[in-house]
Amino acid sequence: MSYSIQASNLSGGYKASFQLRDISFNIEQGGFWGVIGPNGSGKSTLLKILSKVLPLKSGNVTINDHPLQQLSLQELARNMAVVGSEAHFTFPFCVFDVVLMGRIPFLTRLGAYGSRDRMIAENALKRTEVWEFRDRLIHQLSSGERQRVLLARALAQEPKILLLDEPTAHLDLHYEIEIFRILKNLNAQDNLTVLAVSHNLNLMAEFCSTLIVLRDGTCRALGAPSEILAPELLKDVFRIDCQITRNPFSQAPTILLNTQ
Amino acid sequence: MVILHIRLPRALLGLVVGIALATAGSVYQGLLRNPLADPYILGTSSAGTFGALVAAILNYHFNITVYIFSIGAAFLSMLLVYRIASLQGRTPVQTLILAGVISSTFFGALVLLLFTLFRRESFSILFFLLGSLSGAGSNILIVISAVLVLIGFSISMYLARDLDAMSSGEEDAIHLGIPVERVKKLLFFSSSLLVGASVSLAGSIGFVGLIIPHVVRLIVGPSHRKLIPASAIGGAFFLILMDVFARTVFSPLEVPVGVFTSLCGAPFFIYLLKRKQEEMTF
Repeated sequence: MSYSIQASNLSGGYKASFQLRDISFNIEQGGFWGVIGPNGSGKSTLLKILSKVLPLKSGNVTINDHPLQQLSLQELARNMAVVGSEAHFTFPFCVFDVVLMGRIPFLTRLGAYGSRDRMIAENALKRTEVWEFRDRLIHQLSSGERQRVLLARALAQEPKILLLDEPTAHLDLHYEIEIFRILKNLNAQDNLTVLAVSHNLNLMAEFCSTLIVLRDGTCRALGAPSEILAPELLKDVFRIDCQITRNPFSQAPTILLNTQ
Repeated sequence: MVILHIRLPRALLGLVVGIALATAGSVYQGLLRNPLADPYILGTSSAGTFGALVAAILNYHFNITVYIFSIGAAFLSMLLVYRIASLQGRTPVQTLILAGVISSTFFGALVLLLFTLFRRESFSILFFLLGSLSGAGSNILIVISAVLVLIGFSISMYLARDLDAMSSGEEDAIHLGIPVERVKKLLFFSSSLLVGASVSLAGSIGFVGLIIPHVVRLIVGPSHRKLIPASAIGGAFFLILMDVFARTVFSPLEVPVGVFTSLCGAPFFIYLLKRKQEEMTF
């Protein structure tokens, strides 16, 4: 069994305010994993440590069997792409140029984008269904369209691992499902390893094979959604009162909230 | 003879300063992710003027001494600004802008103070305050500045694509494999060369470094590999043209060139802004 991401006793985070402590997990190649937890539980911190935005304080992390500390940012970007919840561009780049930026980790210092880079960018635009917007300016698009462009940029990196930090935070239900459907396709067809953070627990339960549940910087549960999602855990972690039922369409666990 | 000894050095000075200002402007706008950034936003010009003023007051009237004092003060202020804004190996651009504005205000106040106290001595370098190419004295200084500008321009071009990657934020750039802090430091250094070399020769000439990158961006797009060289050409052309106006329109009086860069630049910019509103939203 080969692993995309292995973390043992991972600790780290922002200097003073917030730290993740002793997180361990092994994501298999082609896995579709999710991270859930309340605000401030350390979900984004985890992705930032894995993508070297924040330093790893202690513990071991390997990305495709290479120790994280030994990977340069460029080497990391050739293996792993990251999509955030939104990107604000200072200047009006056109969509195709934004997606081409995904090829930057593969270019030499003075080299220019070649025909292969353009071809890869074109394919990425088609896979995320934004080919028709290729000549538009990035800030003329709606949030849903823009997120798919950023996903296309990530795919242009031809990554083996994709990290997503609340990729659907500003999207309506239709676009949200659309993004997850595209991710599922990439996962199934290209064996792309996915690690996603989202607050939509039902969708995460539907799409992820394994969930990491965080609270206050520590891991509270780890396992298949059907095994770990229970009213007691959700009450403890999210402070919500709920029942778990089955989605009649997919048989995935579904959370019914008690708001009374 | 007039052409060779007066007009040519002055045109060369316009070329060097125009390239420096427009290049630094496009780098700062990209680096600081701020469309309002211009080459003077971090206080380099105030510090450069302060240095020149100190040299004048100490009665060093040789061009070279004024030049060295000015460029030295400009560099020192940039080091200071970067040190103030850095915390634990990171330099957030918003803090950088804030530190720059504070440095600019501080050195601006010192300049006013010295100017008030040493009115007679200061008069010889009045052109620094107004911004002008009329100080073009010694050719060797133009050559030194040209070399500095060439180095600054080359570094900027070398890192141009990194600026593209940083246009949606530094975290995005890290995800694209860019060592952001190192790139920022290098670009900051190269911009200091550009701005220092131009301030120490011509004082602060407004508007060129702000408007030219915006105009050029409308024509060639925001990709920095095209934006930076096109801005350099545009900046040089614009400044030399405005200097011709500055010398001739009210002849025999010569108007500081900064007056014309703003007087002609502002309406042209508004015209472009109205015509291409869609591409000018930030």
